[in-house]
Amino acid sequence: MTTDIWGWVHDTHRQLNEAGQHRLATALAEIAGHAVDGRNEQLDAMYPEALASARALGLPWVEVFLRHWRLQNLLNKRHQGEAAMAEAVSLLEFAHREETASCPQSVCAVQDFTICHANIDGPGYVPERLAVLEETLQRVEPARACFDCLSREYADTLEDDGRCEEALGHLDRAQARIQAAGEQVSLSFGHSRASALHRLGRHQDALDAYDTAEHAYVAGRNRLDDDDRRKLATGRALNLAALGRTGPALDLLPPADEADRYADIRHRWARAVELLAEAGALPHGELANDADLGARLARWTGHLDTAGSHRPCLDLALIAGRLAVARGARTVALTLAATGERKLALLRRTDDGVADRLAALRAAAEALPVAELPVPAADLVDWLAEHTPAAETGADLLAAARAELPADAPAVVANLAGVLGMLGHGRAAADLLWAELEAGRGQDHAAGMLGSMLIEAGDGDGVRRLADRLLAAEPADAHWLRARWAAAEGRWAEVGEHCAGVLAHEPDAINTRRLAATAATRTGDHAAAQRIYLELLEHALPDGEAGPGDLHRAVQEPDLWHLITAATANRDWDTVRSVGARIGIEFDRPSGPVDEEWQIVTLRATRANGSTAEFPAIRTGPATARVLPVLGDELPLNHRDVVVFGPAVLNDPPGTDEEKERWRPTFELLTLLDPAGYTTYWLDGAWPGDEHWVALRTALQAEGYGVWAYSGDHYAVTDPADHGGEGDGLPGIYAALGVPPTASAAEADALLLALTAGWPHPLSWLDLAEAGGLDTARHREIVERYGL
Amino acid sequence: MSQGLPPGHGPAGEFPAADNLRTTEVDLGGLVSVLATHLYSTPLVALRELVQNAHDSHTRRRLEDPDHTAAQLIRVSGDPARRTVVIEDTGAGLTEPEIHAYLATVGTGYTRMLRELTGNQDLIGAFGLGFLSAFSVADEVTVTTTSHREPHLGHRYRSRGGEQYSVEPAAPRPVAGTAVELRLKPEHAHLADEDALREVLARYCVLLPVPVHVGEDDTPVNGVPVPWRGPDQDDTHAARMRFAAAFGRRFEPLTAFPLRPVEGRTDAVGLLWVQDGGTYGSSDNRDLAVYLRGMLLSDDARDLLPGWAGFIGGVVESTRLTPTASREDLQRDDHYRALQQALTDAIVDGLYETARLHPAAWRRILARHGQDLLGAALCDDRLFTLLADDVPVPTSQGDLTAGALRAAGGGAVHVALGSGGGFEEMLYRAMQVPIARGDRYAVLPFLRRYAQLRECRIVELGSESGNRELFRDPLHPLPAEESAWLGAALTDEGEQLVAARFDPPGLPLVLVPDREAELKARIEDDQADARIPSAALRLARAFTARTEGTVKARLYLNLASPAVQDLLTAYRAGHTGSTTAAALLRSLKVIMASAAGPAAGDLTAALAGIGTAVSALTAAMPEGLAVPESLAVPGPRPGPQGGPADPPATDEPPGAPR
Repeated sequence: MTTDIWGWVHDTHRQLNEAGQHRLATALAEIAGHAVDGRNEQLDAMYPEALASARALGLPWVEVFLRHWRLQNLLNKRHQGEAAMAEAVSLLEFAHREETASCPQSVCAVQDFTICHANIDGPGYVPERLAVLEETLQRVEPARACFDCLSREYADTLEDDGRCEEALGHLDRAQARIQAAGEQVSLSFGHSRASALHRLGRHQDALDAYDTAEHAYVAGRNRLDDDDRRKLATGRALNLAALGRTGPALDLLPPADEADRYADIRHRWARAVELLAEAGALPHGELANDADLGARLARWTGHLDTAGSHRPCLDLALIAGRLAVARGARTVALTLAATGERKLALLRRTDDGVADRLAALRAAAEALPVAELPVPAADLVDWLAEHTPAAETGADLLAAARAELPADAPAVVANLAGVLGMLGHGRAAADLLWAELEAGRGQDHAAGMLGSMLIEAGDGDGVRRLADRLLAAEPADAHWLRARWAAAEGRWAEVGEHCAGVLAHEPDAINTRRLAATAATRTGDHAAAQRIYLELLEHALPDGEAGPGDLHRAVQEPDLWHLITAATANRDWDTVRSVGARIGIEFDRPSGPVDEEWQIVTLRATRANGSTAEFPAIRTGPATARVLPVLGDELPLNHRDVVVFGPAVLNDPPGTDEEKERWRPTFELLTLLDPAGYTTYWLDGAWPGDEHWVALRTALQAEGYGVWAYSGDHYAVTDPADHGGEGDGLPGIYAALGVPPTASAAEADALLLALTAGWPHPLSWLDLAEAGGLDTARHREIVERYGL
Repeated sequence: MSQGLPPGHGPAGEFPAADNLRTTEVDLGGLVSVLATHLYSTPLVALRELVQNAHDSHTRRRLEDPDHTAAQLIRVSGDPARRTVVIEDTGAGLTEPEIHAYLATVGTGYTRMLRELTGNQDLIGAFGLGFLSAFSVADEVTVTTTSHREPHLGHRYRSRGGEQYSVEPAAPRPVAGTAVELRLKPEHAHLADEDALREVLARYCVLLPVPVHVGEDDTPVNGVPVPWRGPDQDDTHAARMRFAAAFGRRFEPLTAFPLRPVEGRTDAVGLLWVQDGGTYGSSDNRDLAVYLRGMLLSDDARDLLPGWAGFIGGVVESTRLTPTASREDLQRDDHYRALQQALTDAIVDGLYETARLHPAAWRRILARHGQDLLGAALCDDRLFTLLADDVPVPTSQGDLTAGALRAAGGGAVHVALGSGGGFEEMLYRAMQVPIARGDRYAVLPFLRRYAQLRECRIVELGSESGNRELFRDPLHPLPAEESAWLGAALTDEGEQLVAARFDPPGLPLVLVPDREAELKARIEDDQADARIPSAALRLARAFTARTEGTVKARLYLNLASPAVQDLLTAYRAGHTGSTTAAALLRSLKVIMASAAGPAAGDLTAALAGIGTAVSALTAAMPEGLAVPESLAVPGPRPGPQGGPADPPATDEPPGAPR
């Protein structure tokens, strides 16, 4: 095992390039840098393809290399614990197969595996980690880079065991062996040393250790990169804060959003902020011990929670909890204590003081005064709606009300969960609601709020779990939840199925019908949509009978608009007219298809590539419009087609009257009703001047053709008179010609020839000539001459 | 140094006698060797330095003699036969004291002094090393010069090796100016080739305002108008394209756009372009030339461009960048970083402009650099917004935009992770929707962000969550008794039956291996003891012990499939053919699984099962065993259920209905 990994990378890179596998070669050269420097986007972009290539080419060593560096990134830069364990075990196994056993990077898979355990519960796995590392260090010579990594990992493990002096001693011995082998220690060595010194309370020594490591690194012809600078700055800020040198600490501490982006500095960053807050150095600029900081730390804690990094999650919850105590946020502090307690139960070892620290947090949080309620507890929810205090205050009030009220206080609990969710404690909020459900309380409130939170968080497993739970006792609720989840995911067919499930149990449901009708419209089933809206009218409360609590059960104007839209798509003009009359629409004629001239509107349609296009149309009825432009083939529509649009106005009307004059409502295109049969061809060439152009357009329109100019002021074509090609060319015109279904391409060609006969520069209509099987040479010549 | 040259060798006659020699005022022996072997990576740099001196000579003339209006000119001529290169200018020329002071003294270059005194930024030279660099390529250097202040005098400086030199009177030059003649070292003889000179100087001097001619050429090598320069500045798109086409060495430009100074941040100005040329293979074709006061400073300053911009070429000039001592690289200071940012912004702005004003070029860029742009979009939010709808993504049905993928996927974007297994592959083929190739560069993260931006669903096939998307829960759970019968009839050992609904309905079932169980089996295998170090293995086994591992694969049964519905109907009706039908499905399962990869199940037995089923279905129908009316399948759908009932088969699996 003496092969140098970088030598191997170098050789393999060359071989891959020689074999034409350039992209894999590039990945091999770059992936470690992306991984180590936290360029997660670039790593994620590169990794899947590289891994697939390595597998397809049968290069197990390359696979080990790629998987190792990506795992390093997951572990060190994204701080994953349990979440990465399956991959860590899988890589460990893969890296020790016959075909990979002698790969120099195999040993790194062992290190990844121990780091994964360190992330889950560093102190809890000390004996196992030491055993694995000892076993592995025996396989590695000091000259290899792995020796550096493994030695640091060994020292970090000792530190996790509280044996910081031993850790320093181990680093010294390892450094001596590495240097005796003619190599230099890495910059990370300095971080390990500083970490142990910090833990011993030797903060100045820790700062010196950073300096020494940095100088040695730079003297060794290395250059610090952003990642190095960020980590050094955070470590130094932490130790400066610990020394009470708050000014320099604040200067060095990276901004909070940087810690948002780079998970690996978060713990030190948070601890430094805690020290700064204790020293009275906050607020400083935008940094303060406030609810924003609390929400940020709660999000980070949640990330570690989900990633299965139990111990770091607990450690961060402790810092966040103490900061919450310091700012008097009782409920948040207690929530963090509870998060910590949940994590504590997952640790293998709790005798290292962590349980005491957690107990101290809980005691300090409980010692904070309980919020005084401004109104009787039962009225609090209404009071909050009116006064909207800051979120942490609201949480304290709701918690106080909950304590006062008998166990069954569903609205208070649901609101408390909602506030906690806002403050970054999504898991705690969900747990609170689950507990209500388990206790058989507040079925409506808790299930409703929980369902919304789960849908919001995109937690499909949670939705399924809740729906399954509801199915036996509240089948309608279960179907309703699934229907909303499917709607959030855009699975409209399923939305329809689940809405039908609701209606089977609750035949009078109104919102269910609204959602079902939306689903029918989305799947293009306008007949079903119309039927559902008509049913909705039948089952809705009569006008004026709905109280404030069930307003949704009354017919609302949008329902009628949607019905008109569906009826229009179904050409049920009688319904369009009768429902239209109900909302005050006066039609020019009493019967037959509605085809009037209202105003110009903007339609929004989706192009073939998924982007949206907007174009003008003349509204011809409540839900119909006739397309004005001649359109290209990226839209399935054309000139004079009559289309149905959705009733919702997509743009806000402007504020001033003057702007309102020019404003046009925008609607979403729903479906094509009556195609007009126009075919689009393109006219291209030099601009003939206003007079010629208007004459052409007028004459074409008189013959039933459509014309729509697409080129703007910038469009220029080559001037054939400019032989050197130095000039800026001639102003150009690029326009779509809509040929009506009654005219052939040959007729269109003849008409254009006649109408443009006297022009200074000819126009080209190559695709029209091709479609008509006519002579295209003339057009090709124009294209060539004018550089079209 | 060796003295004396064979008579007649060299243009200026014999080499001067030893007593005329003076010594350069530095230890040149060391310096020249450093210059020659270390400081400059290529001998061409010496040429650059000398052309730069010639240019500075013109600038000096303008400063010292503002009334002088004669045309400025630099001419570089090569003579391969004589192995010489001559660089001539019609600038200020040198007096004899100036020769001693400035040609032979390192570190006090006149240029630098003048620039410090006048603040004139047109002067290029900075280190006074320029002239001496000639000795890195030449054995012998002869300078013939006439100062504009002493037009009647001529001087000839000569030196071999640079450590000692002589200065002698010479005939005055017809106009003031200087000619530097290099007698090239044999290993640098190729520099005398005028074609090579043209190519090199065209790049080095492209931004120099003084025309540079090679040999007898009438047209200067730097004749292409610089779009952002000059009194009759032509900063049109056409002018930019002309410049880019003339400058780009490796690739034709697809479009070009400007880099403009950013107030308070950087003075850098220049031109950037999108290169043509396939970038598959070597995706990093960043090509940036940096000019300082008109002269090429760095031919490969790619690090100034963002890492994702592998398709960009460009030319940039700035007075604020500081060269390193080698004058071939740039110091990574604040100006450097400001320029990096300005370049990133200019590229994104330029691409926006291209999309807006030059749609045809934009389409070519998308077609040519789609893969790179996918990755680039991930690194820059504005770029992502620009590209989200336009950039093509590789899919199972060719390149499609994300929107087209979404439209074809019924509102969801499907992407295959390609993480092996194989059943997904088969399922997707059956689904006939285009599936993005998640194992290609940047595709997966791009589509994830697209789905976020456009608020659509992304189905990651091959991931646990993606597979759950494929297999929807049935509307109504299967009764336990039916589930048990199906399990017995369809599953093999280690397989768990899961009732589900999925597309396409034509596919009755699919077998999905359990990856955790696979891993557990490998870790807990006895052979692992020999391979994996024991402490690590113990810890790994502690992990896999948490997985039960009894379920090796899940058999998803498609309740939306007519075949399964008919099977269940037959079973519920007590139809004896249901057993044969189930056996057929079981065979189908094994055959499909084996096609998807090395899977459990006995393929031979499965194939034999098909034969058994067919023979059972086609066996002569005993009298009186016609299909009961209630079991007839309505509608035209043919199938075994619509045919005659089965005779009792001999090899029915246990658990068949009564």
